[in-house]
Amino acid sequence: MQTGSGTFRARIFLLGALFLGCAFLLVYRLYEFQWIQREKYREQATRNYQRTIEVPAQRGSIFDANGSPLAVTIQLDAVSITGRDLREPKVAERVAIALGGLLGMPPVEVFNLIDPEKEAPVTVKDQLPAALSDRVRKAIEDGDLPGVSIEPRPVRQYPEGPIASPILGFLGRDRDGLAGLEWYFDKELTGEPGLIETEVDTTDKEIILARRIVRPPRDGNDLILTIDRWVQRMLERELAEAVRANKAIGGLIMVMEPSTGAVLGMTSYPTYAVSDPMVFRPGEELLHKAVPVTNQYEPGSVMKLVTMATALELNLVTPNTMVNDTGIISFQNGRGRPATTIKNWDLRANGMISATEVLVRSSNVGTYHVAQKVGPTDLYRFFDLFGFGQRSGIELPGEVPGTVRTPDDPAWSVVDLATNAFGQGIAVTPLQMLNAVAAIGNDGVLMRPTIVKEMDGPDGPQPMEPHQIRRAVSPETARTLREMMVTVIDQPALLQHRIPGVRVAGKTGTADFPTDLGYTSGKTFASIVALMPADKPKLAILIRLDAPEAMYGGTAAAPVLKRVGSELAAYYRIPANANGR
Amino acid sequence: MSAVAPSHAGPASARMLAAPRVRRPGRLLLAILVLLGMAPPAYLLQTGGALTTGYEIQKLERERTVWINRNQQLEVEIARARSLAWVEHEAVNRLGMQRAQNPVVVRVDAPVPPPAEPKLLRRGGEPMPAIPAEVGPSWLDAIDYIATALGRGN
Repeated sequence: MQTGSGTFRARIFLLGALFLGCAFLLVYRLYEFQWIQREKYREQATRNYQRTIEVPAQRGSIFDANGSPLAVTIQLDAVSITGRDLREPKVAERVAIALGGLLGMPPVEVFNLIDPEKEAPVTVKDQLPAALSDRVRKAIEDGDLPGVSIEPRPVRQYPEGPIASPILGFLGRDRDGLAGLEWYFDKELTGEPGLIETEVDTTDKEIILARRIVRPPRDGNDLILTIDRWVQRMLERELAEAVRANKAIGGLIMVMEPSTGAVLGMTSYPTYAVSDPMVFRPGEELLHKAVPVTNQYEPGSVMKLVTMATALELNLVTPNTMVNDTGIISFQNGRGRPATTIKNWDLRANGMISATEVLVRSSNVGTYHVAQKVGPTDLYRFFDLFGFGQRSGIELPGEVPGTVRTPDDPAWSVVDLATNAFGQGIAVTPLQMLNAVAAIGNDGVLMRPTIVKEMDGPDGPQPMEPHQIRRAVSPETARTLREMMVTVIDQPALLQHRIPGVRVAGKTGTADFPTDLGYTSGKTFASIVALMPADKPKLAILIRLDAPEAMYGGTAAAPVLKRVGSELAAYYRIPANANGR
Repeated sequence: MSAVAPSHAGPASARMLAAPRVRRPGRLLLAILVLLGMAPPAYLLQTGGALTTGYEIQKLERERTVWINRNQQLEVEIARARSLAWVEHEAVNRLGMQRAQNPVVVRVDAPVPPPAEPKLLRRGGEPMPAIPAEVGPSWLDAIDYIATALGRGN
């Protein structure tokens, strides 16, 4: 008995110990779950029932200077289908027939989108018209379309059609800006999404009372541009017509307000249509660039204005200073290299001509003599003062500074002084050229070019004030040069291209196409710049045609200036000059 | 039943004076029981009401969003109808207008009227995302609600 009792006790003890051990283990596990790993399990539990919903912010719109919408985001409904909810083939078939009938799509096409294994909804059709959207919504509410959902999605719309495409830019599939202002101001236009925390029940349905705003969305800013839709559209129409009429391969037109640096219109050709659903086509990437700021060119004779402004400012010439235009100059390059010859564009020797006539006849040799008086140090200093070789700071992506070779460059030679003075061997952007001309129209003050007038956001409107970069020349120099430019436009050769009733100051330019192997003969950049009215310019204009049949600025670009200038004069009510010309 | 107070004075006053301590705790207990008994249904009633209202608000907000979206779509349509492209299209194709070959511009000294373009699609008319309901009522809110309801009943 003793032994049996002892064994029994031992068994009881063992069993007790086992139970105790188990109890201890349980308590320990409980302690582990409740105390040691409490954060982990709390997080898991929270994740189970808590959801965070991102509330997208409304992307800002882009308006023209007068408030007409150019690019806006609106919500358009999209119909989706969830295959997981349509596992029954008969139901799927019925839904495909009903939905296909509503959307005007072949039911087979809808049926093929139904994948019973797929959990994520598949878009059947987006950007539904309002009436159709109503019919689909009603059918869903009536229970006729199980597995079908309809939800609004943001869509960028262009009420004015495809105007100013390279300026506006476009959005990618993920709603990020990929070009133009949409890219440059992407952060400002996008805004900040809001956050909502909520809870769901065991069927993953939201418990409405548990909603809580963590952070309200902050909508993107609207951009109000300096671009006027009327001016922009007119420029686009006239450029397309000019390119066609001149059998050119491209071109650009820009209009700026000299007193503020505001770009009123800016277009280049060829271009693309921002409203095209297939806006991005591989191989056409170059079209998406804002060419007036991303591409540089040799401006040709238009640059003579800057050379002349420098000479006038330094009191080295007056409009009547005489120079000897021999028609040709040769430079010895030394070290057995062939001499460089500079000729006038018309190969003529004009003899003794005044500084004004240097501009009127667009004399290369005459300009070289003026540049020689100025000297390289001052000439390049004034190129710098007029903004060449530096980015202007306009709110467009991809701006280049241009290429200006100075005497500090080992490859620079005296030939550069001569050629740069009349716009060859130097590369500028069209915007830089226009801005320099606008500075002459603004009594010598260089403004920072701008394309955005105001930013309007949740914090209220923020106007972008005009920014003065520096004074390039004195008001007297600017006025004198403008008078010389009026003489250029009033010359008999350009008589037929005068803008009726408006006194215009301007200068034509023709530059050869540069290639890797030198200049292409027979292809030119034909351009013209103008300030109107000449006495107190309200508008600065640059017109350039690339490889036009007529080749020269005076023959290809000047007729375009007449048409564009006449339209602008009527639109901006630019008064007739005193003599009614 | 004995805890119910008599509706008449007089002899009852004497009875009450005789055994006031026995009856008061009974009435108090009953009141507490009634209160406790009413608390859950009242809370449920209030929560249910709030829930229904919450769903109703959510539905209305959805409707509001639909109408705001529709309004914006119409504004875009108006802007499209006012666009220069459309005006030109109508002028040329519907009215058969042509560009003047020799336009005559008559300038008069009149003030330039400000642009009358309405500010379509500008800030102020944009749809806001559905504003979520407030956080659900707490127990304290429920007790406060019941107390208020009872107080109103008295």
